[in-house]
Amino acid sequence: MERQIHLTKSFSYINHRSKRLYFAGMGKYYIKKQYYNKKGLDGGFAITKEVISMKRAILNKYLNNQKGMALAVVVMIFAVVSILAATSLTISLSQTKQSVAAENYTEAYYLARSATDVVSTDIINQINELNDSIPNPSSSAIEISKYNALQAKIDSILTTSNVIVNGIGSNSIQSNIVVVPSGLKKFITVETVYQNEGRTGRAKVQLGKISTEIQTITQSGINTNAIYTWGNLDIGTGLTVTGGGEVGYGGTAIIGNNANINANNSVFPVNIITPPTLDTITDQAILLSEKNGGSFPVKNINKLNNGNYGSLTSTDNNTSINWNVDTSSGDVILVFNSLSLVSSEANINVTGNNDNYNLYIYLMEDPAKNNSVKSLLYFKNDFNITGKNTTGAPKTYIIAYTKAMQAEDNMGKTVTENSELDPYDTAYIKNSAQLDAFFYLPGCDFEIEQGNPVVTGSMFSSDFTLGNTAKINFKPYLPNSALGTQTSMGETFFTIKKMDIEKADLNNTNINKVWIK
Amino acid sequence: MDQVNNLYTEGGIYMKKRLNNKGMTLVEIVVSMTIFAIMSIAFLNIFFGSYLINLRAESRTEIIGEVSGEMENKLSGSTMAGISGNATIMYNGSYTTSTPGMTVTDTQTDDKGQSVSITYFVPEEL
Repeated sequence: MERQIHLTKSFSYINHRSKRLYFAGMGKYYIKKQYYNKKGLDGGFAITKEVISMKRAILNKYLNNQKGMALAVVVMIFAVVSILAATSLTISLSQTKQSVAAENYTEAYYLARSATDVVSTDIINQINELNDSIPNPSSSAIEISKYNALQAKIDSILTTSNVIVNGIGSNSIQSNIVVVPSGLKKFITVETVYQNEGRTGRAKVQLGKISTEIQTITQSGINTNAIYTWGNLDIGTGLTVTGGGEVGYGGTAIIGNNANINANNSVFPVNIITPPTLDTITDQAILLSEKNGGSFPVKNINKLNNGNYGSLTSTDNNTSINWNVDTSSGDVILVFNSLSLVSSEANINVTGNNDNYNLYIYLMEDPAKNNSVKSLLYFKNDFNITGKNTTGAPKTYIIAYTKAMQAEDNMGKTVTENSELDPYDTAYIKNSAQLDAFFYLPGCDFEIEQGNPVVTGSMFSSDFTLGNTAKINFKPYLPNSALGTQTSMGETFFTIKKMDIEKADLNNTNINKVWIK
Repeated sequence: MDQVNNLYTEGGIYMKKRLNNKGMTLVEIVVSMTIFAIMSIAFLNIFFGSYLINLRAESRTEIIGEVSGEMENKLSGSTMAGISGNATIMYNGSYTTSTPGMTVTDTQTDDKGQSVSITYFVPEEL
């Protein structure tokens, strides 16, 4: 029975087909249809040898029937060829797409790599430029400020994440800078991802480690000189210098007897100190006093009186200056085209409890005047400037330079004795003047005539002439003064951040960057 | 007897079929050959077109490789020809710098008129 069940299931298809064939009258054999009511055999035929034989015969006959085969074969061939054609076309189009994509990728890759190259090279260039401009003790304030600005710029760049590069291809390309601190150094990676027609090009480069070092630089140039002249030095019979200052000169020196000085022939940088732009004040009565009862009334001056007063000139003995300058609240800055007094009595007294604030007297050439009238600074006889800060340094700075110096465009450049700078005028200080002041007169000759003048501070001029016995109580410029911060003069200290970049490939000292796959 | 007749009849039919000498008519042949020709042309066109597309794709792929190789040669070479110019860089929208350099372009064209061009700006290390 089990065998019958098995055969019945196996030939169930044949059974159904044979039934159809039988009832269609295609067979002559009688098949007794027998239904089994037992479970699992519903609808089955009784499987006998005859039935099986008959079924096979019918099947063979059906299968051997070749009618309509041509159509079937044609349809099959057509289908196969169509599939082949479609496949071939699909593959071809796919290859075309791939080649176009490869082209787009290649373009994207080189643009991304180029942008990465540009950004990384720019960083290297800027650090190299920074290293090439490290200030030295004789650097000008302008050079120092340029260095600091460049350093600040690099600091800003290295905290940047997004960078836009233009000029490569037709579109802007965005790169990214990744900074990873490593101790005192930084790892800098520049990466660019660029999309071109749906294809992504990537490029990444690793720079050498960048280090930053704080350096303190001391400017020790003119600050050691009580007197410096970039032209000739002519000292009379005696000059006493106290406070450690020396005398320097750029041209020739004539030094009389009994001078206890150590004069050195050397060249120092010269800077132009530009006064701040101030309002023009025409009321000279603020500064000039008319003699009253045998004395000149005191004029109280403070920072509210800062201004450009033009030419302050007195040609008679009844007009002079007698200032009490208060620097408590800020720098007092007075700008003149010339300051010329013939009175024997002239006084400037500077007070103020803040060492950072001083009196600055700027003497500028008056462009309206012709060359025959070019006196800038003229003091006579007992002219006194008094006032020191808590360190004993003068609180007065007298700064003068000529228009010729500006015209030569020597701003920030070193002026030597061979330069075309033409000393413009002479600053006269006569007789027994007592001056607590720094004199910065690089475009002027400076002359102290006769007597026993005493200068507490230092003097910088073109040619320098000192008559007979004079005394210099040397004090260096203060670092935070206009001269100390803007020139190399004075004992100034400044710090810089020195940056350096290691070679990215230690095996090749010429490689600053390594491309990362 | 019926069985014999039936067999005979069946055999007769069979024999008749075997002895049928009917062939295809000229029209059938012409029509079938025309259909065959049309279909063949269509399929040949497809295959040939596909072949041409393949050739073009292959050629394009080749010149992409050539243009990349040529660019690498230029970049690694000591001398390179290009157009001098500047690339501008803007850092976070604040600092803008200008880097001098040279725009190097390489273009390769195949015999089918396909052209691939890539551009690289070589910055100058100062």
